[in-house]
Amino acid sequence: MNTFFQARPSSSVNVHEEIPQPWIEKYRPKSMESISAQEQTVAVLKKTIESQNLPHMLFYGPPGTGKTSTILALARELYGPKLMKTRILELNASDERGIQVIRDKVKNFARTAVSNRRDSDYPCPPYKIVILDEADLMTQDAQSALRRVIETYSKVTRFCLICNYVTRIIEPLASRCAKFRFKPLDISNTTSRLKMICEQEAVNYSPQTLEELAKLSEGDLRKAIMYLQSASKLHKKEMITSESIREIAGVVSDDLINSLVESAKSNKDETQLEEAVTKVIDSGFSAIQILSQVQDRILDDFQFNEAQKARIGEFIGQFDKYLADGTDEHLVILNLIKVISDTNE
Amino acid sequence: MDTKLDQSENVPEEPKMESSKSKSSKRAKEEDSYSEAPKKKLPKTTPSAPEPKEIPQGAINCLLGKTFVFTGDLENLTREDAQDLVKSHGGRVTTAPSSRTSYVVVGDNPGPNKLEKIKQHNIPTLNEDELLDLIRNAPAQIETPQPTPAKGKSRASDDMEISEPTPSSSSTTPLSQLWSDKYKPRSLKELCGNKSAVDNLQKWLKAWESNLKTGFDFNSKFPAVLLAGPPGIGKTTAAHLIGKLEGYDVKEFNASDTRSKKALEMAVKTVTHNTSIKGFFQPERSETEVRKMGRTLIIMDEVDGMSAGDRGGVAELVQLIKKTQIPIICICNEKGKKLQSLTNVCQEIRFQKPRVEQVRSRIMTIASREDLKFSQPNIADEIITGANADIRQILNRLSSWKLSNDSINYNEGKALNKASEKNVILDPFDITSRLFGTSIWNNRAGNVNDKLELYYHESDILPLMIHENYLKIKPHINSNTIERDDVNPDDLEQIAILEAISKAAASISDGAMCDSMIHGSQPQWSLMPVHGIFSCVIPTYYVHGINTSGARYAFPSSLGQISRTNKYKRILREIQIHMRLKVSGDKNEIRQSYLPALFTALSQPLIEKGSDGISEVIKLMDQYYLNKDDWDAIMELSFGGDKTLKEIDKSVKAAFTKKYNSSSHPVPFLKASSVKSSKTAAASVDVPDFEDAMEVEEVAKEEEVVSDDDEDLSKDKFIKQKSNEKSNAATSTRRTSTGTKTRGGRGGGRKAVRKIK
Amino acid sequence: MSLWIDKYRPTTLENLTFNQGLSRKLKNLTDSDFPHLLIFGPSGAGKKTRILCILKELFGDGAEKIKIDQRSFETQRKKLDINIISSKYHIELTPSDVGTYDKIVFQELLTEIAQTQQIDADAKQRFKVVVINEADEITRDAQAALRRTMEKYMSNLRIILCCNSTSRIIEPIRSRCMLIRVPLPSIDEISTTLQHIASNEEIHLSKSLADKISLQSQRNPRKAILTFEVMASQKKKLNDNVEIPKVDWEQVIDDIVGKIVKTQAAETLSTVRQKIYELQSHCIPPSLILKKIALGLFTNEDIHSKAKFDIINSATHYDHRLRTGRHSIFHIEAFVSSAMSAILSTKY
Repeated sequence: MNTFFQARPSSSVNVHEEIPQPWIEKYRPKSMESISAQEQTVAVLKKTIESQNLPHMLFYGPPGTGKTSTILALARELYGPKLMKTRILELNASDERGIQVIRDKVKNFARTAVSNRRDSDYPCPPYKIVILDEADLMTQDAQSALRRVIETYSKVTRFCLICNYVTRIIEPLASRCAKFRFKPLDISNTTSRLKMICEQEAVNYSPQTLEELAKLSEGDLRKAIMYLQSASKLHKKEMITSESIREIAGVVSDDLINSLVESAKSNKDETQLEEAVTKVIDSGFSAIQILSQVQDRILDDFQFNEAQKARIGEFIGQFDKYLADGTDEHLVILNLIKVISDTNE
Repeated sequence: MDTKLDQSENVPEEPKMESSKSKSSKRAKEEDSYSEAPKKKLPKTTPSAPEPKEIPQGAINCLLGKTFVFTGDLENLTREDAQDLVKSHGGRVTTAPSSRTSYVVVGDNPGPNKLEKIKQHNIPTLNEDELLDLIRNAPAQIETPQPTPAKGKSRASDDMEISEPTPSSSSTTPLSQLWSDKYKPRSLKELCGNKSAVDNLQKWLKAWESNLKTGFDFNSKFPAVLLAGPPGIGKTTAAHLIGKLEGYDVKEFNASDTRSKKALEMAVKTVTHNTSIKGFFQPERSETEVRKMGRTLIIMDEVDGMSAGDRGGVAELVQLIKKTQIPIICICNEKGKKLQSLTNVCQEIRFQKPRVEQVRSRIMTIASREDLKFSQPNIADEIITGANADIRQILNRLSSWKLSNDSINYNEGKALNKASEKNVILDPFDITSRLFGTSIWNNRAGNVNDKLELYYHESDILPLMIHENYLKIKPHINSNTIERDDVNPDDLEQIAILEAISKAAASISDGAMCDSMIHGSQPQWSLMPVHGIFSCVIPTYYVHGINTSGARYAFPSSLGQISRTNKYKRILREIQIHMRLKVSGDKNEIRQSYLPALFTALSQPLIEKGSDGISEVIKLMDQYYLNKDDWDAIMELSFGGDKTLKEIDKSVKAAFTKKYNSSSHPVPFLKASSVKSSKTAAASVDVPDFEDAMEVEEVAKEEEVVSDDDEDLSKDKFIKQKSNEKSNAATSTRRTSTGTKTRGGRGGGRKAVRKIK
Repeated sequence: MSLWIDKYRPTTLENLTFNQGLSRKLKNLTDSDFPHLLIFGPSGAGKKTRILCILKELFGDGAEKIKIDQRSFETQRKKLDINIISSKYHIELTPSDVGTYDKIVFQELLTEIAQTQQIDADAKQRFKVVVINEADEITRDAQAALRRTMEKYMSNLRIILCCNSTSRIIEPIRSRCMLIRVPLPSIDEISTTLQHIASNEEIHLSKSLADKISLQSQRNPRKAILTFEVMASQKKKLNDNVEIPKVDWEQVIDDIVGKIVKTQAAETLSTVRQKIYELQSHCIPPSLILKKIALGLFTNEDIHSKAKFDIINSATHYDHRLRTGRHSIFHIEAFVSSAMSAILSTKY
């Protein structure tokens, strides 16, 4: 019966053909040059490599802008692929990162001296690098513990903190690092990157689709690549359509949003409002998505004056919190529609 | 309010100061400079109220012999504070003005009746400032032995005499004995109050023997009495005294003795069937003594405590009373429902709290005998009221005070009460009725903190009590709160009431949020006060008034509801798991969509076709792997299930059960419940070798064993070994194996239990 | 015999009647490298049925031979039981059964599964599939634990998450899965299915009645079919005027709504409280009770529109509290009282 749990030595399994990699890994930039759209940051970093004196670094910016890729590429250029493994310690949010880990693992790694072994093709400066990915999710305690470690072992170890929200890094820690901001990718950058991937993977695409994809990903390249891969799986060799991209991204169609807002504006009768909401909810879209799309729609609507928009916006903020805590989606959207209808009166 | 706080704040330092002061006051009439020293002290501690008025500390007993009446609202002082101020300077406060009244203190909105009386008797009036001036300027007076008229009266009416301590008690060292024992009444005269109750008791005991001969009718002649009344007013003492007086040997059972049914039987039997040994050693016997000899009296103290732990105790006691050969006195504080049966066989004698005057002289006597000086005569009253006339409590308080001080003044007396106040334990019902009552919300009756204090008495249960009962209250509404012209007043009141209830409900909900944070994964105990405010104070602020239902405040039903809900949740989960092989829905979907349909499908054939429908139902059940228990559970879980159950003919039901039990049914898997015992048993046997530690018990439940079982077993063993290797993992894993569902749908029930160390 | 809903349940992707476009896409998926899936949609839309079809498509008939296991975990404080449904090729669990201890389930069980490989050498796929039910009920901690597992054991493990809404799924999980939305079928689709069943069972069912049933079941096919069966078992003649029975607990909620609309007073609140207790102990979740009452009031024609604004506002407010606070009765009662207050004050 318990076939499922049964261990089986992996050696006995027929030899694998190469495991298909997710595209985000496959097309991760290997060198500093290939990083898109962060020219300024890359230029500064190049300079520091030449001077061989790397500061402690703090990379921040929205997801999917190449923060992790940059530091990995940097490390590769410094140490070469062989030495990289011994010189780099990478910890991210899914690793246990309490204060205990900082005290033991990080400190131990940080204080060991560097071996003399070097790769002649690479500069190989005499220090190691600790990469703390998603550093803003670390506890305050762990961050405090880190700040002394950073100073004490700066001779042999450099730190690179990566985070989305720089405000969540405690000030004493942030002040010890050189800050680099990664800005969201603009549409042209994203599309050119996607185009490259499409060509390599022989995906059947149209330029409009890629543009739509770039728009939906909101400057997050990882998201864009993920969507592209999903779409290509669903469609195989067929042409990828904008609709399927929207579907994969979970975006509600504009028609649906429009009809929802219009019925809120025109209807006074609650039963009709309820029906309109039920229609949207039954189609299974996530309420957070509906909320943000309705918000965009309201902001562009010239029939509302500023005060009305402000009032609706205030409610939307609250609804977002409700939804994040798991409040019933039907009720929240119904409330939203009632607010809009109420404001319109 | 301010001054009230001040006083309590000053408590720690004041006693010293005051005691030295009173000593000096004894010496002579004091120079004025002396009384000025404390005068400076008080204002300093007064917090900055909007317009703080200096509260004077007048000369000692400067108001002695003067009687005050207060009417109307004073400007700065609350009435209570003002009265305290007067009392602390030796003055008396009465409620209604009369010819004996020295001053009437008049504030805003004075009572018209009082004003009339003032005119009638031509009493001088004071306003607040004048009162303060009076206190400031009045000369100190030595304590006069001359009693106030009212006091003399009460003493006369009480016919209480100071009895000399008996030689035996004076011979013992005073410190080694508790005051409450030392001054235990030794004669009937020393008992404070409850004259008629004591008389009744004595009458009953006197008549007991003659009643025994004629037989008890449980109407006017009882073999036992039940003394009921609040603690510390001398019930036990009275019972003992009368017993002795009437020449009985008193045998007492109290809460410290075991009083379960059996224990009671044994203990009482030994007493009732023995003659008292005392009789044999009595040298000379007079005629009466002989008659009285060998008689025993049983006192069952604290019988209300008996019903709590000692099951059957009360019933046994009742039996005992019915056939007793000796008199029995039962004593309790409160006769609740549990003692109902007891009251049927006992004559009931109620002990009331003695009035202040009744206790006063006794306390004064004791105090003077113990060399404790009261600097003002009204201190005793204050202490007595503060302790609820519980004499034992008063004596305890005074004796502990005496350890460090020789005298006591008014403020100290008040502080003493306040310090002991917390010892009073209130039960949740009391607190609930207090919070819902109007008196606590009177604007002069204490601040928010006082109400919050009530929450701390029962912080767990009180929020639930408030929630359970707030709908029974008709809120006291100030109908001016809502201004709407378009609505008639009756409707307006309805709106206001509902609004109050809704606000209370909202606050209760806020309280529940605090509650979940306090008891959450990271307990935040600092939120306790906030919880108290939200869950108890605010709701009762909105909703307080008259209890319209007339019933007592109910104990929260939500607790019972929660456990009931959890029980059904478990049952539902069971059903879902059984159906899982057939149906993919989760338990909510099962409950909300499937159950109604299954309910009809499982009950309709039985109702319509009678016993012909049985096989149809059983077939359906087998399809979904439901057993008979599940069938019952589905009936229970559906609304109106009980009604439907009644529609099914009894004989059909019996036939259904019989038929179900007689045939075999597919089982999706076997519950681990039977495994638990074997697991713990096995775990206690500590076998060092893992390989040997493996145990496989196999219970063949049914004959049909699916063919691939052997295969399964071998695999199982393999897993087990693997798990053993992993055994240092923090969580140990145990598995109950299953019957396998094959295409035919008939699975063999087979259970393999294995232990993983 | 089983209920019609199970009798006529489709078992292959081709046979799925609703959302055929989606089914086609899913078939494409099973051909190529299969990703992690996050399947979401309203209750009754057919998510589980689809998952079963996908599994069958992936592994063949073997995926249909399922059995139930009970596993126990012991933590320092508590003993946990979790039921596991499995076949040779897949395993299905509901971690939310163990409440806040769900992280342990992932740590222990999932890692154990992930480290082993497919036993059946003839199996069509190299990987095994873990189906996780009620994924939106999983705590954030457990989701974080899952995230790493998804990456690390990609080579021999695929995860299918099944939930009603993606709102409570953390972004890193969402970005690692392919999102599959399963909407409720249209009224027409359900009616067709109902009529198909009716003709097989030799019952006459008019189109208009089928529409009526579908409508009242709120486009939930499961509910529609079950309701239809109840109707068929009760009345032999099904004409267009037949009243469609509501399920037991909905009747109770209708009753509550009626009481609230009729009189707004403390006494009503007391009776409503008792009814809510009843519903809760009959295993109706508190949030559903609140929602249904709120919707009932919201669509009631006797209530002033102004009051409805307050009603829906306090409904979301207290539903939010139901998710975070203890003592659900407190919150529902607070909602009902505020609704009554709103109704009463707009009455005059």
